[in-house]
Amino acid sequence: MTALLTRPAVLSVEGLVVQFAKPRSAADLALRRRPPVLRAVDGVSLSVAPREVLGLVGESGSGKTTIGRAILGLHAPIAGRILFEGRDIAALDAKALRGFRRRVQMVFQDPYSSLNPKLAIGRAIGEVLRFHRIVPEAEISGEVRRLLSLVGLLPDMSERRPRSLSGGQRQRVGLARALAVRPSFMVLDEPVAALDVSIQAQILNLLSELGRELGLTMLLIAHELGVVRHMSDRIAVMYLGQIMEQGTTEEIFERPHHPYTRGLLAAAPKLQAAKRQRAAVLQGDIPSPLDIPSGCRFRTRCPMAAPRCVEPPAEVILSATHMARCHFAAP
Amino acid sequence: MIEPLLRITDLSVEFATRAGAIRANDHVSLDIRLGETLGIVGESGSGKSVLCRAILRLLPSPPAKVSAKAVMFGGRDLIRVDDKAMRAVRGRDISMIFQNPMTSLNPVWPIGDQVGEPLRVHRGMSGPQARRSAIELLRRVGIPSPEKRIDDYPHQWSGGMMQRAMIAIALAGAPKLMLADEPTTALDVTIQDQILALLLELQRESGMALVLVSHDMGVIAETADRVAVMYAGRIVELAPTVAIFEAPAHPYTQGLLRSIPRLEERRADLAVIPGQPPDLARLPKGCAFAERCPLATAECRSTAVALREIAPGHVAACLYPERVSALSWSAA
Repeated sequence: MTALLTRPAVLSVEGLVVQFAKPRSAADLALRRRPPVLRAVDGVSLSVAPREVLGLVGESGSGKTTIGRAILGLHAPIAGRILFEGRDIAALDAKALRGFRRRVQMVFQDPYSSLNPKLAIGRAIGEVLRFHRIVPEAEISGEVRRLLSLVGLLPDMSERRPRSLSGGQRQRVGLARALAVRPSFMVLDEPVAALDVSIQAQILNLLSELGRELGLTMLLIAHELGVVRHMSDRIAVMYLGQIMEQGTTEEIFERPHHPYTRGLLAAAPKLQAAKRQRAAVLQGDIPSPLDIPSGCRFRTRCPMAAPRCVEPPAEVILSATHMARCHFAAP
Repeated sequence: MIEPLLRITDLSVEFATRAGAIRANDHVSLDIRLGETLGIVGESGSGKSVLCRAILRLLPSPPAKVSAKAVMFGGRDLIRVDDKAMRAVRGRDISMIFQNPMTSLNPVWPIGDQVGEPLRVHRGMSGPQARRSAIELLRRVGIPSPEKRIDDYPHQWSGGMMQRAMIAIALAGAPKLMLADEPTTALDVTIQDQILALLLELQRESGMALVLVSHDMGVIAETADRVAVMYAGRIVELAPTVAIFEAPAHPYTQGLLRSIPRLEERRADLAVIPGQPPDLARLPKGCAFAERCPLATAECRSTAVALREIAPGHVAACLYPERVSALSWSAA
């Protein structure tokens, strides 16, 4: 397994497998069978270098969010490991774990459901500062004001409740809460997907700026290809629990090798006025993650599929930073 | 000039809320032409979905209060026909598909029956006839082996398949106009691609007009013949698609286009339209965009700005359309 990185990594995911069992149903009990198992992440390896933005892109069921949550320790992998600054996060003792949870923070998609509606936003941020003992008690309100202005909110908004804020403002609060503990690594899970277009740009620019100023490393999970291109240094393209292609942003967008990556790029609407005459790029439905095709998992929809695709393809190394998992990929 | 298929004149919609009346559509006038695809683009709260629902009188009253000079369709004013006549229009002359097929289909009714219902109601078919036609409709919208799937329930289908079923239901009455409200927003990009291809193909075959409501400028660019841009309940610009994308004449349209990260190229920073859309309960007297607009003057804030012609077929509600092309936005 290659790191596809030309620098040492701050975070490495090695051969990660995460699966979910459905709860046993009455029918399962009656038939004495095991409930079906959903393998959401199936052997994923990736690395992120300091101060880099790695984009993780894919459609629903690709496992991109599960990877983000596994990095936070919210899902226990059944195989593989996650190394943060060289240490396996599953082997951290309580004290080291607390430190890890402070260094690594997550920003969620839905700013409407990720904040406590009863808590004034200043208190929501202050709570984090207090729990992690970031500043002495007396300095908390000053630090809250500093964080609010860091994310572009007025410091005197700290008494407001989430209900009185717009979606963009709430996402700024979510960001302030994540930044309160002075993390070095951020997992951003669809950070602008719930926002209107004109507000998306505000948040994306803020994220780039904060990333630069605070020297943050970021894993950006998104389905919107324009957003991923705009933000990422490197990109991993996922499909049904595996990385199909990984490369620098330029490699993925200018020289995509995997038929899925090509299909995804061709299917995404462009901002050029030209009435489409073409048929759909990829036919068929995304298979259920409960019933993943054997061999190459993309073969049921792949325009290039051939008999050999019943065998699982290996990772083909295309450059020091570029990999595609396809029988037909060649450097 | 041939008469439009649908002519909306001065349509306003208000919702009564505890915080006062919210004006969701504010004197909207719009023609929909025979066989065209009209894109309606705008952000949440801009009034694009409300407009579609108002045309079909789907808004519950109260709280909604709809008023209009006229909504003319086939020689009749839809705002004034009785409920019975309106029921005949819905689904037969004008049909609608919604954003979320998962909540638009009845979960406890087989899909075949739901596709067959308009055939029985609007075309007077018998049960077996409707079933045969439902199978054909499902085949036409790309459901593989529909004869085997017709007795399935919605939860057995994927989101893309359910949206195809919704389209089959909307097609059942052979409508002259289909209103599609964010039809692909809940779908993955490769499935969105399939649904857009299907809608345009069906439109070419049947000659129906299509109104495609979307927040996604890319979807609009690839499908629409003309585009209406809505902001705070009003149409602020209306033009052929190429003009909207290459020579926008309203600052909002131009800002929106520059704020979207592009697939084709990477920009250093995205343009940012500062602030937020106005509170619809307290719409300003003048231009609703003035507060966020770098071109705004005292005149913009004090006088209501009507749509005016910029070029043939291109109208914009701006006092300074000639300054829009040179307009630049900060990245902050």
